[in-house]
Amino acid sequence: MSNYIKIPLNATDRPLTAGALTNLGTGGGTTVNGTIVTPITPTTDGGGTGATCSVTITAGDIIVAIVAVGSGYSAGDTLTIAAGDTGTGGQAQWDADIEVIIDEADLATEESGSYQLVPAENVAAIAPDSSAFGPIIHTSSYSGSAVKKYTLVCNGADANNYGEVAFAVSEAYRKAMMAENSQPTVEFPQGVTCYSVTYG
Amino acid sequence: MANLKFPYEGGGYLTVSVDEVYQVERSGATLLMYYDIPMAAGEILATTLTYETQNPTDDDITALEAAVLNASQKPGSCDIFRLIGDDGTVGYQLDVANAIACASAAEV
Repeated sequence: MSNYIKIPLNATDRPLTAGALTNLGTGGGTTVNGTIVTPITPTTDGGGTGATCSVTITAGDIIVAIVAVGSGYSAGDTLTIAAGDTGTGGQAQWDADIEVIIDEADLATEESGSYQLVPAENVAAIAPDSSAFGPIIHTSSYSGSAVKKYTLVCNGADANNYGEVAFAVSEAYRKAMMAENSQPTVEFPQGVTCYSVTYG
Repeated sequence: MANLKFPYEGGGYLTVSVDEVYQVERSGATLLMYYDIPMAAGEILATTLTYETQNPTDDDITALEAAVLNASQKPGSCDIFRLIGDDGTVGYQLDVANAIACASAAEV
């Protein structure tokens, strides 16, 4: 027997990481030093959604810091902060769009390789996670302090679909266990991809 | 390898290994399965299945034990286990958020 669950990994679409982006913003027209702390929702030329940011202008440098990490962003995507989206008086000001390019270092850490392989014979159960939304694959191994598990981090998983995501992984496990030498690939719901799996 | 699948409020079913299960208990809206798989000292693997609203009965325990035995005799099978009285409504399904938990638990 060599049954595995294959979890496809998509390192392209990921959340951002909170904090200042690697690249400085460009454009902005005439600027006034200061900080905008009210989260601003930038637009993007990529597929990402949900990120918010703050803007600090110091000596002409435009620093964009991520507040909400969103999902679905890729290195090379451009975030655009509209002119006039400048909060209240006494803070930074700009009168033209600010653009900043997302660097690889600005994205959540991804898993290397095309698939995460999970030995099916060692799986005890697949559980949904209503807080992080990526399912948990419990195993029958013990770490010394807890039952070992695979924790999936999924782009596009949310409060509305985490049950479907858990079902998708459970189905792959079921298929793996119903046929000798079966190695099914998890078929995530549309719009959901997995970019990281941790074990322990 | 023995597995059973349980109706799930989040959609479809969730499949659970029942290899080495030696005892089944109930508590409120949960079913607890204890496995002869060592974990911490003096403890074993336990899986908790939590239903949306229905409380499993003693008859459900008997039925689950029978399903475990049956699954162990049919390699490659994955039968559906439903609570007795399951009328297809959501209350008889595993809770969407808290369906399954696995932990190291004291031997019973």
